[in-house]
Amino acid sequence: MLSAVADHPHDPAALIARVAAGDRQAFVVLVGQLYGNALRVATKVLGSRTDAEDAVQGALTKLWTEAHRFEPGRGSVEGWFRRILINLCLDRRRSFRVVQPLETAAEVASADPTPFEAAVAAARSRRIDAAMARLNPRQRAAIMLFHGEGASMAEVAQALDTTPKAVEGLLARARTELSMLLSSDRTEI
Amino acid sequence: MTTMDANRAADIIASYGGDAARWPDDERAEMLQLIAQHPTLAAQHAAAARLDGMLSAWAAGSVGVDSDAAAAATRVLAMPVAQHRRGTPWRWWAGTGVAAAIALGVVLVNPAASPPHVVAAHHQISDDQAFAMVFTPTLDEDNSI
Repeated sequence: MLSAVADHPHDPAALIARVAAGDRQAFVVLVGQLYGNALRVATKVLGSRTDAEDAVQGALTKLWTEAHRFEPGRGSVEGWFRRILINLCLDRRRSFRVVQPLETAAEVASADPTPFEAAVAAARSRRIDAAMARLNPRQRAAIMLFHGEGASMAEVAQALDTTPKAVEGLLARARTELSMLLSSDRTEI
Repeated sequence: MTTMDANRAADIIASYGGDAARWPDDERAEMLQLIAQHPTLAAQHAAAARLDGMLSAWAAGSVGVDSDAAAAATRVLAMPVAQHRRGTPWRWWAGTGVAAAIALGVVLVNPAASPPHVVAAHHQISDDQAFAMVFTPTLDEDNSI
């Protein structure tokens, strides 16, 4: 273990071992590796940058205070941290609000003057955002992890504290709902 | 090996999407054969691939992240609560000890705070005495008889 730490000082597994021992510098380096992606995932799952920042801050606090609970044999540091983050995101679901109703999404003007194709792409993006906002956070988390992070069904299941079979059902329902939402007025895109 | 039919193939497409690389390894080859044979499955497959593209674009879309990781780390390290919650079992035991000492002090200073059965243990009486206590009239009761 010690030789592994010496050979790969920036390896997440080596860093978290140092974090567990109270190494503040290792914590800063590890946060540097995890922060950007964590904020992106949390923002997509929660639909709110402010809520996402709170969730990530909470997850980082747990990373610092509970690093000693990480068990290398049970998975990667990234997977362990992702599970903490998703749990915190889902804990915030009661306060979640639909940021942008689907009906109004097509009417929102782009803030920047863009060529026609870019405007169409921007409108489509806003419609997808609005459709995603209609899903529950658990469904958004599953889609974000599977399609955004490239996580396997088993890894998504681990992050959501459930079984791969349950994730299959969760994703199927989410995709069906999204298809219906996005096709309901496709001509407006 | 699982039993593959059109229904199972449709279920996999519905859950995993249109990217064959994401499908279960042991079902991929049969899935592709079935899709080639069933126009309905082929249409579902194509629709799933279109949705995959939209979902990937959504997931990859910018969220305006100013990746100020160092500032986030500093905020955590500056939190005294975080340090107090580190894995230090002695703190838990110390807390338990203080609580026990306070409870003992309350009992010693104010014996009335003790549970009733503790006091009763020093004044145990026999069954006959208890019977007499209940059925012997008081002076007032005696006078009124």
